[in-house]
Amino acid sequence: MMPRSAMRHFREFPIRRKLTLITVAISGVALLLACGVFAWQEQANFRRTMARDLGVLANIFADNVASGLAFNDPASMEQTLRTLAANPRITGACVYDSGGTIVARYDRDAARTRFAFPGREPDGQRFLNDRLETFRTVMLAGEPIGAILVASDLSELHERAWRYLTNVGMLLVGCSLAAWLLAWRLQKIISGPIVRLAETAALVAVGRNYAVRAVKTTHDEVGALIDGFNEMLTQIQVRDAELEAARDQLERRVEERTRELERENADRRRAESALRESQALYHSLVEQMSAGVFCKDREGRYIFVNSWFSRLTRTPVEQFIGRTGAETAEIQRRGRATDEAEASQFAADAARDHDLIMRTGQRLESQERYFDPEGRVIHLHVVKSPVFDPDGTIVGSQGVLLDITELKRAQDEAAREHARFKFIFDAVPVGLTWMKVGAPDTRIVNAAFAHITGVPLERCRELELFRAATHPEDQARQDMLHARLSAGETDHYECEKRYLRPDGSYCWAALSVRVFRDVEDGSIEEIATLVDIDERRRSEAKLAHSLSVLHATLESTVDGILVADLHGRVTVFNRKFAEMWRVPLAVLEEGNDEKVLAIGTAQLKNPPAFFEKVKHLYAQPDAESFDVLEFADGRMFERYSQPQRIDGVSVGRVWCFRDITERRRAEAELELTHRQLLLASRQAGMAEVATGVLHNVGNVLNSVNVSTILIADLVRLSKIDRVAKLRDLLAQHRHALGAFFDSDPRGKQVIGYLETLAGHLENERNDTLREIESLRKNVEHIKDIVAMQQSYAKVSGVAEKIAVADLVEDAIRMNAGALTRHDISLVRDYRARPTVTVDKHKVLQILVNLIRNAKYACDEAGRIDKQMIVRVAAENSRVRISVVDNGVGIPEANLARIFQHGFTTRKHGHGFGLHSGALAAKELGGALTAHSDGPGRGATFTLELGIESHTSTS
Amino acid sequence: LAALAGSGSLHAEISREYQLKAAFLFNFTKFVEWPARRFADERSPILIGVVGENPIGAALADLVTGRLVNGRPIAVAYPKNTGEMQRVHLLFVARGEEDRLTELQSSGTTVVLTVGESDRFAELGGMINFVVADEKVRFEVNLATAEKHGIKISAQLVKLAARVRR
Repeated sequence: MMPRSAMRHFREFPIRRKLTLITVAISGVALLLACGVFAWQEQANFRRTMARDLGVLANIFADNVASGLAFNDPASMEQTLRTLAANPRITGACVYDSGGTIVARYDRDAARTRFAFPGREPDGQRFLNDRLETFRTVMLAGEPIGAILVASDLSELHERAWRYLTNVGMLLVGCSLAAWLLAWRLQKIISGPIVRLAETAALVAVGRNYAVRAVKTTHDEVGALIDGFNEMLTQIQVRDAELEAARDQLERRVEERTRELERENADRRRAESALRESQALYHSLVEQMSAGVFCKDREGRYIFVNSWFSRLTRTPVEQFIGRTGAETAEIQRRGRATDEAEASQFAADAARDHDLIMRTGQRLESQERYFDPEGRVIHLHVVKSPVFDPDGTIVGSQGVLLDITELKRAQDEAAREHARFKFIFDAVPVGLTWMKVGAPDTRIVNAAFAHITGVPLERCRELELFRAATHPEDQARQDMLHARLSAGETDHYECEKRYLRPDGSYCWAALSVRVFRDVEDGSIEEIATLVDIDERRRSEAKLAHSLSVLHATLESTVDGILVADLHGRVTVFNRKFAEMWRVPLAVLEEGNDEKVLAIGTAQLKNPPAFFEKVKHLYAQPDAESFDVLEFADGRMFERYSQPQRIDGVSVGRVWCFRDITERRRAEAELELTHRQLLLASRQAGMAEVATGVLHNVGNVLNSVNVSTILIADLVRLSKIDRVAKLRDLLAQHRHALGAFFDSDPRGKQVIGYLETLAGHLENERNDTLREIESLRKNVEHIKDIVAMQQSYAKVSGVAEKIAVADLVEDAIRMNAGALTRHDISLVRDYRARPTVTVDKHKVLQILVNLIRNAKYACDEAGRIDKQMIVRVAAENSRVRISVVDNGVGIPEANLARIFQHGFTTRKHGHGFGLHSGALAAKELGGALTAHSDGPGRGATFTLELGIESHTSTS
Repeated sequence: LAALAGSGSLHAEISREYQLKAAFLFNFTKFVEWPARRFADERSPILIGVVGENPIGAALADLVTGRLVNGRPIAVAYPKNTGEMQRVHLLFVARGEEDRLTELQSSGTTVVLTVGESDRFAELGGMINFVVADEKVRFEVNLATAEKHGIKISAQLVKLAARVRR
């Protein structure tokens, strides 16, 4: 198909070229079709042949690889496949086992590219883009055992196709050339006459020469055409002559008429333009007015409404035109009051107004209330008037609606403003008055003013009354001030004055007067305020009295007092403060707080700390503090600081200082005495321990003594002398021992006697050895006791880590002799075994003391089942060592005094054992407590210590 | 425990080797042609005999069940004497049973494809002998003996042989 533009070009070609082109095109297309069919058939044949060849090849190879596949011998199969290289068209081949896995492959182009072996497919052949694939199942003994793929490229197919295309192209060019030559020669037979006729027609058209004629050469359709053409030219020549005549006449008539019309048109256009301008002006005026405008005809139908009116009624303009008020009532209702009745009332009013105007021609004014589109109330001033025609006849009515809402609102606001002013004016406790100067009648006065001045409200216009009410002493001054005001020297004055009361008393008031001059009319207004300050005046007097009392108090106290505001500035101080701090009075009175602080600081032992404290307290206005200041010269002040508050809010700080130098000295002396006493008590305690030790040693020495006597007795009573006797007997019979042993009756007994003696001597030796062993043990015991005492006699005061149980055991051991001696059964009740870090000596001293006390208590009770329990318990990082006895107990009255110095119930007691014990416990960071259910019911003393490390404070 | 595991894997090794050999035996039947007189008709079974204590019999029985070779079913037999050995078409002589081959050979002309798995078997004139090289099971073919007994071994099979005696 030719494109449209080519087609257009083709139409414009001369006939001879068209004929040539058509001929060549037809022959070309026929040739192309024939060649195409042949080529397609040839190609299809070739594809079939190729597929068949490849199929045969695949079958052969399927047989050849069967054994390799059966025996899983890829090498053999690949060797077989490699023989495919003989056929260069085969691009690749492979063998699949029964599972579809490739077990052998051949790739023609393995060196360059990799053949993409596909997965196994069912048997058959597939033409792909670039190759032909043939799948064959490998059968062996009637059983499928795998498959083979042989792929061939299609290059030969493509080469053949290309060769065909080239041949067809060359054939087409040759044939077309031959066809063109033939057509060019033969077309002239048809195109020749037509070309000539066209040339004649062109001559007629260009030269308007209807006299020429075409020459007829053939008798076919072209010949007939030339005859018709010539006949047409003849008729045109005749018609032309007639037309020429008619046209000349017509032209003249048309020209005249045209000129007339142009004149008329110009006139009318001018008039219309003027009218339009005036209408546009009127319309724009009416539209731009922020007022509603409407116009009605004789029958009361709207003939015009402006857009403002339309907006007001929320009704489009065209809804009004041609309708009466009643007809638009429904519409109007939406813009006005809400209910139906009111709407119809409006309509009725509108109709009545219109009728009245039509009848009388009078102008009506009224005020109406509408709602604007937002639902707010708007007030309208409505003017309705008649419309006259040029003859003065009433032809309708018109109306203008002016929005006066703002005016209304302003009026209402003014009224409210006035009411507010009136209320404040009357209610305010400050006296107020206003007048125009020179016109007393204009004066207004409020109730407060009347009350303060004592002049009744209704007589406020009698100015002289106010002067009369003024205290005589203040009159002259006020007259003077007022004169200056009147003279225009100033526009205001203030004064405090007194007003007299009928009972002769007076009250203080602060008067303030100001004038305002109106520049335009020259009038002067005078406004005065009057405040009752009587109360304030009296308070001030009271305050002065209080202050004097305060000052007297300040000066009579022994403490130094200083009051500073929140910024540290001195506000109040007393002489004592100046004296104590040695600050010159002049500096204090000057209020130079930095200098005061500097003088004070310089005297202190630790100025920076003091400075910090002062700064800290000023930073926390609500904090209280109490501390002691030490001076470089040894003085000591107690400092107490407290915020100064007004209505609970801190406004400053009161500093109170007391000289405690003397008191401190006394306390220090007391402390010294106490320490000396403590030392004495400790030495006494040690003496007691020593006594205990000596007692123990004495006990053992007793045993040593007994052992020694026993040994001496044993040796003295020894049978050793019997041996001597035997020796003598044997010596007598030295010369005839044989006869002695055989015949002498004594000699016969010698052997038996020797046996008995040997037994005796052996017993003796054993007894002696036993006693010597006992003696040795006792001596060892003494050594132990002395060693233990030595270990406790070491310098104390060093905290060491020690198991509580060991401490308790040591204490018990030091009392062991006494406990045994007094037959007291000891029970150990160790519920915990904590470790403490303490001064071992101090703890031991306390425990030995407690055990000894318990022993005495049991002894005194005189009971048989004397028992003592030593208990160790731990709880919340505290260890409690309790010594419980079932002795005499403690009366409740004594329980409170038991730790006091010098208190004792024992005949030989010192009265400081428990006292020093309690002190030592305190020094250890612990406590010593006593408990008893009463006399005869035993007692419990408990030493409580912290398990955490505690260092002795002494 | 380690020793046990080792022996287990050794056992598996043997099984795999014999499974492979069983498959070979089965496949041999496809490439070997016996004289027609050895079969009663077109559908007579091919008998495979196994002599010697060997797992190959069980593996083979599993393999041939329900399968046909050129329309013939396969049956596995365990010949106990020379007579029975002569009846089978293919005789597998396990290692250590080579004397049985001698027995068969001395019993006269027999058309039995003999398959063994030892050098001695090959030396005694067995037709196909399994050899294991590089952990792969291969086989040697003695074409001369086979042809002498009228058994045709396909060239396809021969070309896979590791060694061929002619």
